[in-house]
Amino acid sequence: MFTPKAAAYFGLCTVLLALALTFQDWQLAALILPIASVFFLSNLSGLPENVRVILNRNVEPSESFGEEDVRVELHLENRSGARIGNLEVHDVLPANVKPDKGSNSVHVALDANANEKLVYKFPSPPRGHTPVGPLLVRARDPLGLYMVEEKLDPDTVAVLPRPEKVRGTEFRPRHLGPWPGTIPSRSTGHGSEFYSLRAYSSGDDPKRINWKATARYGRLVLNETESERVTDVMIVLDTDVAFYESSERELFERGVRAAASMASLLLRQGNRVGLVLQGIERGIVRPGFGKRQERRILYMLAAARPGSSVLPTGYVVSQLARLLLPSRAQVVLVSSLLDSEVAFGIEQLTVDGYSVMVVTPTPTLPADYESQSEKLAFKILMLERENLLLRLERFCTLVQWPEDVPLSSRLRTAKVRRIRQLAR
Amino acid sequence: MRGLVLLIKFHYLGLAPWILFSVPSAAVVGLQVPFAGITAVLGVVGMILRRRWLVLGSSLSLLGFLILGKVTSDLTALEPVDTAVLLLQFVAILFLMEASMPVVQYEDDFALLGERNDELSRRVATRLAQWLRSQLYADARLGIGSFLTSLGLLIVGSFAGVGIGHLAVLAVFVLAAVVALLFLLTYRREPETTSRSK
Repeated sequence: MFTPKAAAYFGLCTVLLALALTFQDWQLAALILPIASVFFLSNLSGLPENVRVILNRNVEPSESFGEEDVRVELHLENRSGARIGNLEVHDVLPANVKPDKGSNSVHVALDANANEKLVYKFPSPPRGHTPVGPLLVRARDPLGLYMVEEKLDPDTVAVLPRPEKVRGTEFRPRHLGPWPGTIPSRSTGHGSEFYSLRAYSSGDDPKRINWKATARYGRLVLNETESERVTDVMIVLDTDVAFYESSERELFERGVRAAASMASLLLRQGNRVGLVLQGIERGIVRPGFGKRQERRILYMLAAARPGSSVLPTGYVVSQLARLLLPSRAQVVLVSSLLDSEVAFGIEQLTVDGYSVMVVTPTPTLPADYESQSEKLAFKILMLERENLLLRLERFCTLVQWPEDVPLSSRLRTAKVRRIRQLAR
Repeated sequence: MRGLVLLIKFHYLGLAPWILFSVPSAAVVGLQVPFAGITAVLGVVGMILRRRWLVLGSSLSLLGFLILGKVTSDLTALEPVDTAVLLLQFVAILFLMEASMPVVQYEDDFALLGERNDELSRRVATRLAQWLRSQLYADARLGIGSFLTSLGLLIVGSFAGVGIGHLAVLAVFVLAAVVALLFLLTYRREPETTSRSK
């Protein structure tokens, strides 16, 4: 297609013609000849008749935890049958991504049927989905009068949140799956915890005989263990952290890390886990098992951005739990607990028989406040949050996670507290 | 190569006085020196600071001065300049302007690479240098080609001894030029569409 430059040259020809006619000056008219010659010569030896450049892009790694540089390889193959002397190659990158080796924007000349490999590297972007591309390749004649554009759709570099190593936490949902897992099922079967004693019957494993009890009762007595099974879990990440301003980003990232860690732990234990992203960015990963499910969940968590949602979290949680989970399964809500209505939603779930665990990253107090009223507002916010925590503690497991404390230790504390409450 | 780039960067210092001192004094109200100075300085500054609009502005103003000079000599019935010289000046302005653009682009791309000295960046720099060389070579070939073609056509026209000053002949000439332009613009050209590959 013609470029604006070609149109400008055509306009210049028109002006020269008009002046030549007005002043009857053949010298002015003669000035059109070089321009016309340029168009002719450009057509003759500029761009090939059919410009065809095959494009390909290879991004490595396309998924990472943000520890290694991203290497992008662009492959260009000239299938036009003639040399393209003026090829502009531009792989569009977001403003925060700058190559530190090579370049994403380059001009090259490509011989007929030649292959060209252009490589550039950039430091890993922060957590999120970073588009690489689209790749725009513009072939022009030497003067840029004609242009043919080829385009390659963008690829995505996903920097996933790194799950923390969490050793374990206690879940006691009433719904359990048929497969062996780590959740005590309140019934006898294969497991590691002692459950009861029973009389020996033929065919029982002699290793399980309790010799002390046998001596006491005068007949063979067997140890029975509590069977451990898997369950269905829905992790809900509430991305609303809007009121915490200074610590907003850190608080949000901690929430994402908590969700990633919980998902990783629960999937490792063999549970069926799903994810609901609740906030400005919304999404659902339906419950599933295994490594591939972990990748799906981390991929969605990589796209999470802080921001409040139109629908209240409590409502979304209670509705989606019924839709995605079997009744009386486990729900894990990761939230900074700004919306007091969330308590209502959780209460509804517990009434319906679901077990709920709330993991809440504790906001860090600002070092200084801009004004007295800001300080007061923050205090009121914290008090309201404390009230909400007290209310939630009555019907769900609550894990408060302050900064600089490993999540694992907080999950263990939560387990102890729950056992004590049950004992009372 | 470096010498050629320097020559293109500073070509306004020679081109601006050449154009402005060849146009009739009345066309620039006797201000050849300041106009030449301003145009040359703006052009060189544009080249050094890689400001395309300054470079384009300087070249287009030179083109404007050239055409204005021709119109002024028509209006004031001055002796016309030699056609070959006029053509040479016109072609020189256009092609030096065209050659300036790849040089600015080259320096822009080079600046993006910055101080990087890794293998990948060095390879990009080599490719850029190759591209610039091929661009300047193609520009020079087109410039010389178009100048010689135009001159050849004019000489052929003169040999034929056509009374080119007459209005009717001029009209035929204009008509022929329009037809030629249409042919030249559309020769081997089909509408191209953006394509995708993956």
